[in-house]
Amino acid sequence: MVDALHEATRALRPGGLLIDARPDSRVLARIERAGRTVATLETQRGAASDDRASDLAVSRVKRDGVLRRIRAGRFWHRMPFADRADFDTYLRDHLRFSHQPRWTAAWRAKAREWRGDPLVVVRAIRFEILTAAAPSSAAGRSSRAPRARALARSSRTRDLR
Amino acid sequence: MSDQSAVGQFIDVASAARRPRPRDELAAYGIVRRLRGATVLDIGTGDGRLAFGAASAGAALVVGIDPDPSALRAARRNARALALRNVSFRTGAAQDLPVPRGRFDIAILSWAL
Repeated sequence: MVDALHEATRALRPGGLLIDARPDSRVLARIERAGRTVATLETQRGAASDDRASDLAVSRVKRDGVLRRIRAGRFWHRMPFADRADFDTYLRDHLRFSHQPRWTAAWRAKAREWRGDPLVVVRAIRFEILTAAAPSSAAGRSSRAPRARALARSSRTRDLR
Repeated sequence: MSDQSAVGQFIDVASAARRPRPRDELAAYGIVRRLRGATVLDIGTGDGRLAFGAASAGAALVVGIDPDPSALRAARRNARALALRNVSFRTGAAQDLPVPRGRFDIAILSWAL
């Protein structure tokens, strides 16, 4: 992973941007029915471990002065499903999500009745925008390119429906 | 997972069907305006989903890299169907990118690291 980040940095022009984006396994995904949460979904242990390794790799290249953060944020990704069967098919072979959602009491009480209702999985996607660090460690806020400064001002969190 | 094995895995192309729409994803990053006229490297491009988004947003050139030849076949098929001339795809791994130094304005690792 560190190698990949070095390679991506090598490919960039001076002032270029590197975007790292991944599902945020630190935040539980939720399943909604009619706009209300009816279950939560954890991340499988292996996927969470991979995510931590990726985080460590990004931290390392920043610590080593290869890249520096311009901006970080998170958005919500909504995945619609026609009904419970459609969702179950999706989840069966999923490599990230636990295959056993934690259904709420409300769902369990009405599971049969709600089985044909549309469901939406909402999960957090985190991203970080980085740029090659200046050779001198004195590269502070004042040395940022104007476009990088404009980028840093833009909004942090969005809801993608 | 070791550092070496962590990048370069083959991911089922069909799994991209549940990813965010590229336009939405690029907007969330706040880079849509910056894409115009830019050179973009999409690392772990898969079927080219995000590469096509960048190309459609006005990038001058988009290069998608993926280690999976079958994913790249799908990407090239999609590029032909979309008649996008500013996108190309190359087989390669993130640890050893088949691109020259200092060529790109934006490099994207979406679901790839």
